[in-house]
Amino acid sequence: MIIFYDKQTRDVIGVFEGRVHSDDQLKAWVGDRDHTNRIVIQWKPVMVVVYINGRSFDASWTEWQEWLAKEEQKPIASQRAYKILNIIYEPEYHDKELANKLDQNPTLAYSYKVNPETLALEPKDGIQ
Amino acid sequence: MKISQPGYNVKTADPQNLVFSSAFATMNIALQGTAARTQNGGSYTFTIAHGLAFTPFALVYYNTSVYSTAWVFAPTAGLINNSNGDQTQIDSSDIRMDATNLNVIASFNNGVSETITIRYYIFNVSI
Repeated sequence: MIIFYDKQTRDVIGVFEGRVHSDDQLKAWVGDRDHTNRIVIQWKPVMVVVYINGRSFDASWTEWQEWLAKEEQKPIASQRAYKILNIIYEPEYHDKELANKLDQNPTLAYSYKVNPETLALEPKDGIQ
Repeated sequence: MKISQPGYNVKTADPQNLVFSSAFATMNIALQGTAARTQNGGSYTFTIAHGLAFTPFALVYYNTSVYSTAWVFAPTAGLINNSNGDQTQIDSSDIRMDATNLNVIASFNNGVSETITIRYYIFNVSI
């Protein structure tokens, strides 16, 4: 999700929906670039569930990348086959609970103002 | 690569019975989102720089805090808000797309502070 806000009023003026934004989407903008700024909330993989040799395993994304790197060093015939069953993503934002709520209901962002120094979303008008 | 609809043999299905075929261009969404503006009367231009290197096809809906929370497909005839005939509207000439921006011009009702929210879907298909 990318949240655009007015630098002067700190009001949220636009939202791009989604969890993982492409380079094209990161080039996009809402409003006048001189008077607006944005918060980019990318979601990153943190855990993976994989199936190897008849068993399923949970692993952190880092452990999984390390395991893949080692497997790929082996001759192809020796590399173990695997199937990814699930990948768990989490938002890269200090308030993960809020980021999850916004992911479910993006228009909720308009109930917040942005603190431009911390990029935190603060409820406006006492809305919780 | 092809995926057929349930009940159809993927090897023999006609194109209209496919869910997906790599032989045909797919109209997937490049960007979707919302933008909101609050003001009393007058008009406002929402500008969305889409970041694509071509002029894409788009769909736009909007709603207004004064008239209706339902999403109305834009362009549309005006939503009349009061006995003076003041309207909230996004007309056919008010949605403009080029290789840089989607511009949507919204006209606000006079006499009351109103929030117009637009919802847009910008596709990976060139006009």
